[in-house]
Formats: sequence, C-alpha cells, structure tokens
Amino acid sequence: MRRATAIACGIIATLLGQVSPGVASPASQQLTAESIYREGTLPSGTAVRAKRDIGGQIVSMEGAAVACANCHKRSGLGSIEGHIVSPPITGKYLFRLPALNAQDLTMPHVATFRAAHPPFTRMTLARAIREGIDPDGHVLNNLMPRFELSDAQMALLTDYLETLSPTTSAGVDSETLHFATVITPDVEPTQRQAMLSVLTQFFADQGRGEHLYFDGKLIGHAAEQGFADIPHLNTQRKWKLHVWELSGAADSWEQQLRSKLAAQPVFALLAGLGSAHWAPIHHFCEEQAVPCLFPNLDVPVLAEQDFYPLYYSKGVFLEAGLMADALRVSLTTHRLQRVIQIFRAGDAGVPGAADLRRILAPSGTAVETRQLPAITATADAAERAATLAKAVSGVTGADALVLWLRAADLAALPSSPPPGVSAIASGLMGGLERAPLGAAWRPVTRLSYPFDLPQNRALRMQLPLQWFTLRKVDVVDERIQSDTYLACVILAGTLNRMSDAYVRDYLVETIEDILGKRPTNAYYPRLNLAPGQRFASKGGFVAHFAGSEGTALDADGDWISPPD
Amino acid sequence: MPLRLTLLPAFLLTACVAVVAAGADPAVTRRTAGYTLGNIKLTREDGKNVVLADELNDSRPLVVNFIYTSCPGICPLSSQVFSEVQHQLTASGNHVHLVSISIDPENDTPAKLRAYAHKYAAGPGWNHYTGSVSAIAATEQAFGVYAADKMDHAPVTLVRKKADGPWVRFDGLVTADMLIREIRGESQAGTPPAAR
Repeated sequence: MRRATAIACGIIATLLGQVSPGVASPASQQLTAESIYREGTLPSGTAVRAKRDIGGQIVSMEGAAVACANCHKRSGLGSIEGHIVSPPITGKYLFRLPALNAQDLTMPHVATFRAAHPPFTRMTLARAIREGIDPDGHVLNNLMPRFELSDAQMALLTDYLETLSPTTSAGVDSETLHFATVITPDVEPTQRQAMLSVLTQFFADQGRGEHLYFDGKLIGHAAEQGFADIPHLNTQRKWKLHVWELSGAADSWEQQLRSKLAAQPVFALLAGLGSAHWAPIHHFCEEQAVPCLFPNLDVPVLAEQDFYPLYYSKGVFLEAGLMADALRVSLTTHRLQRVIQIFRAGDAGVPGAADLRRILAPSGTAVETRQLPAITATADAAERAATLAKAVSGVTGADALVLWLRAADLAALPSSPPPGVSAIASGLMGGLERAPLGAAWRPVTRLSYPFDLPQNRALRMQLPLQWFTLRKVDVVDERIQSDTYLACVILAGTLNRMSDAYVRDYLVETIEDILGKRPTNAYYPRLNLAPGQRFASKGGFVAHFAGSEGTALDADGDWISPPD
Repeated sequence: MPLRLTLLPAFLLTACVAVVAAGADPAVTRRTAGYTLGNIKLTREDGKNVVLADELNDSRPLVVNFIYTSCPGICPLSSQVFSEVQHQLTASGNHVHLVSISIDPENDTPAKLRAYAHKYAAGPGWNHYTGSVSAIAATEQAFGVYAADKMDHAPVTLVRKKADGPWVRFDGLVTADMLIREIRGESQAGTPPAAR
C-alpha cells in the first residue's frame, strides 16, 4: 500500500501540476487517489464536491460525506445495507465482461456483485461517477452522489479502482490460510496454555480442507481431489496457526512482529494474549494492514479511527465507566466524601484508575490513589498481605474504595474491611464471580462486570462448553477459553461469507457486517461493530454477590452502556 | 472434471441470488398505517429522559425516521432529506416536528446525537432520541421497523399530519418533496425514478 501511495503521488504531481514532477514533498505523499476514495479529499487538499438530488433541491455535499469508501468500502468490494446494494467497484468487477462468477473462476465471489450491466469503460465509468448513469443508460439511485471531478482527478480515481484489492492478500496460498496469535511475555502461563489449548484444537478441526459431497455422500476433501488451484472449488482452505511469542521490553515488540511477518506472512492475527501493554501490537496491525481480531486483553488501545484492530470491549476503560455510574449514585445517596483507588504499578489498574479519575473529575469528587509496588518474583504472602493492609489503612465509612486488583491481591486483603466502607472491585481483573473476596468483604463489595451475568449467559455458554467437552479441552480459564473459541467461530463464519475473496480489508468489513447478526456470543449479550466502532460489546453490569459464599451474582440494576 | 461440473449449478445459484438482491427495486411505496406506542421511555439528545408518546403528542405535523450515527449509507441521505424538509418548511412559515430515532442505542449517546444533529444543521423542532436496548427495540417493533441488526435496517419514514390522524408510511429512499407534499396534503405524483 505504501508503494502504491508513492506511485500515486507521482501521478498526481504529474497530472495536476500541483507539485513539480520528481519533487514529492511529505505533504503531497499523503494526498493521493486513496484520499479521494477513502476521505473525499482531493490531491490539492480540498474536499471532493458532489451533488445529490434529494427531492425539491439539488444539494451540494463534500468531503468525508461523499467518500466512495462509505458505501463501496475500503476494499472496494461493496456493501449491503438493508436491501440497498452498493456494488463492488474494483477494476476486476467494473471492467470485466458480465460473467456470472461460475463462468470466470478467477473472479472471487462477493455478495454485492451485479452481473446485470455491461462492463464499464473508462468513459462510461466517468459518466456514472459524474452523472449517475450506468452503461445501459439507467439512472443510479440517489444514494450515489454525482461527483465534480476534473479529467485528471477522474483518471487518478479510475487508476486507483483498477488496482484496488486486486489479488488475494498475503498469508493465503492455494491450500492454506495462515494466521498468527500474539502472546506478550508478561502473561500468566496458565492463561497462555488456556488460550492455546482452544486455538490448537480449533485449527486442527479446520485442517481437513473443504468437504466435497456428491449425492449427499462425502466423497473426499477439496485438496485431495486436486481442486486446490481452483479458487471457487476450494473456499475452505486449511488453517495454519503460528504462535508469535514476544520477548524482552515492550519497545522491541513492534520490530519483532515485523520480522515475524516478513518471515511468515499471515492473513490476520487471531485472539492473542496480553497484559497492560498492547499498543505495540495494535500499531503493528494498523501499520502493516493486518487485521487483529479479538485479543484477550484487559487494556485495549482506544483508537476507533484505526481500521484493523478489533476488540471485544474497552476492558478496564469500560469498567471505569460502569464504576463511575455506580459511584455517582452512592456518592450522592450515602454522602461519601472520597474515592480511594488501589492498584498495582505496571498493571491494568493503572489506566483503569486514571480513566475513572477522568470521568469523575467534572463532579468535583475527591479521588485519591494508592499505588502498590509491582509484584516481584520474591514477594511472599506475608509481604503481599502487609502491603494490602497498609493500602486500606485509614479508609473510613465516608470513603468509596475502588479495587483494581488481581485475584491474589483480593484474597490477601485484611479479613475485616474498614468499618462502614463500601467497595467496588474490577471484575475483569479480580476474576469475575470467582473473585476470592473474604467473607466480610463480600457483602460490602460490588463488582464491575463487563459481560452478561452467569445466569443470563448460561444457555449461550452451552455451545463453547460442549465443544470443550467434545474436543477434550480442559477448562482452566473459562472466560479466556470462551472468548478465544468465540473469536475462532466468528472468523470461521466470516470466511464462510467471504467465499474466496481473501482480502484483508474485506475480512474486517465482513466482520463489521455479520457480527451484529450472530444469534449467540457466549459471554456477551450482543456484539456489534460499524465503521468507526472497534469495541464490539459496549456495556456491562454492576453486580453484588447473592450469598455469603458461592459464585451467584445479582445485578444492581440494568445493563449500562457508559458514555465515552 | 465430472465432479467440477456437478458443482457449477450451486455457484450459478449463488450468483443469481446476488443479482436478485442487487436488482431489488428500492422505489418508494406509500401506505397508511396505525401504530400503538405504549409507554416507551427514551432519552433525547439534550440528555432528558422522556416518554416517546408524549414527545409525539404534538400539534405540529410529525415526521419520523430511524438512523444511527455511524451509518455509512442510508442514514446520511435520510438526514439530508430531513434537513431539507426543515429548511423548506421553516422558510415557508410551516412548523414541523422531525424525530430521528437511533437504532444503535449502545453507541449513540446523547452527545453523539448532538454532534450528528449539528452535522445536518438540525434546528429547533428536529430532535434525536436514543435509549436502552430494550426501549429502542420496543420502539422499532411498535413502528414495524425492527431489524435484529442495525445494518439490516431498511429506509422507512413516517408522517403524521395531526396528533389524532393516521400515520403514512414510506418504505424506500423518500425525497424531501415527497414528505413536504404529504405534510401539505398534496397528492403524490408517482414515485421517483426506479433506482438500480
């Protein structure tokens, strides 16, 4: 893409005479045909202008509102919204004979493809873009703006469409789809094993290639029958998993990932496991245009303008929103005077606590933080208990205590909470309903719970749990394993929909399209994405333990979707 | 090779389905309808919690549509049409109440709705609403526009000239002059050109 950008810049410079040929300033390198297509911005930096007949008046529009990619998508492979179809507009689909897919086995199948019109020429395409008339003379509907583009700009855009999503993305060969999962060095070995046990088994299940049936009988697999070279007859390639374990300091991870990608191209990153530092992986995915699908994380990167990284939720940032909602009520009704946040240096509670402080700031609430030292290899139980006892000392019934603590720290809290205190703990960090709070803490501690409650999800969880049983996967960390299984299932469903159009951008777009249509999603009541939405589950509960022991929880109120 | 031939019809069928979808005629249909709203509580763009039926209990003509702020295709057009309707009717001294209801309530906070309204120069008399997932689902069901997924939504616009009058429902990409004619009680002169 970078190379294409550079070439396009050269073309712009020559065609438009806005920059002397051969002189490519950094600014001009950004102003490409890609920006006409994606952003609605001309090489000069001004907005693309277009008109639309909305009845009664022709209105002018410009810029991002008329960017081609809004409807035809970044991949150019089109979209379906309701019953309105925006067809694929890459060169392959525009300029070819109106072959039905089966008559042209080199043409990937996309659901938006229309075979009804004759192929465009550069001239009829320009007429469609400017006047909204297709090669047959039919008027395109008024969703399609009528663009004001000069001949030079039209040539740029047409050249861009000719080369958009031309071939299968890297990481896909005639028999195999390559995926990687990234594990950062700071994760618990049990979590690593939990995730890998699911991925390994799921990939083994996908390894047999496409089943071929004849008269209802299984007669073999596509690869065995020699159909591997015919894209349409091998739409379910084998999946191969590459485990990318990072090492050393976080500032070296991006370079490690680039090296791994160069050595083994992959179509996407799937699941993955990280602790408090995911930014290097996020940046790698965005820079290298590699989709990064639903990693197991407490601290995702909040950058919804980025395209390739997709997350289940905002993790601790979502919890901060849930906690703020609960605290607003208790601060008022119980006249609490101070919020005290306890977290460990270097852990997910640091950004969580900072975000809660940010959210509470406009209310004028006093927020105090007590940071515990990072856990060291030599720390023993007595030391841990002493640190926690010190952290809660001086806390009174007029304080709200916020516990951004892992399970081991929750278990090491002093057996008696400060008299009269009310606490709220990060469920994500503390182990959700299995949070090992002492008996005296349970009645006074609520949990932020950024998932559906156990009783609500029980039916949905039968799918992953039965799969674990059938596939003999030991359940050692139910949430990580369930989320990993769900990521695999979402990917499988997406690839199924994509048929043989293996284009990375189209993978992300197809997930955006199908995610909200999935009937069940394990821990999540709903998953939803859209352009500019990169966190699929957007809410959660605040809950409390239903009894003095056990894992039963009751919600304090309804599902909450906190504002940003 | 024989096997390959036996597989071909399946692909032809797939291709045909795509063609039918692409060729579906989105021309606008108009019909009268009756809706019962019940006690649905929503949140207006200014953050105020309201009862939808009270908001719609209005002496002004009402026009209702369904949008979401990250919607790439249909909603921007629909909101542009509303903008034009408001502009033209205000200019001619007619007051109308435009109501845009989000079908992506978990994402569309009041703040996002205000930003969206600003983008389309919404003046007084054009309100945007969000709510809980269940309240929005109930609203969609009450108006017969429910889609389990927001991306499956079809363009629907509803007009009610008087508080006790019937609703007129437009399915399809309605234009500003169609809505203005409806509000003014003028006959609809056909539908816009068949779109493809």
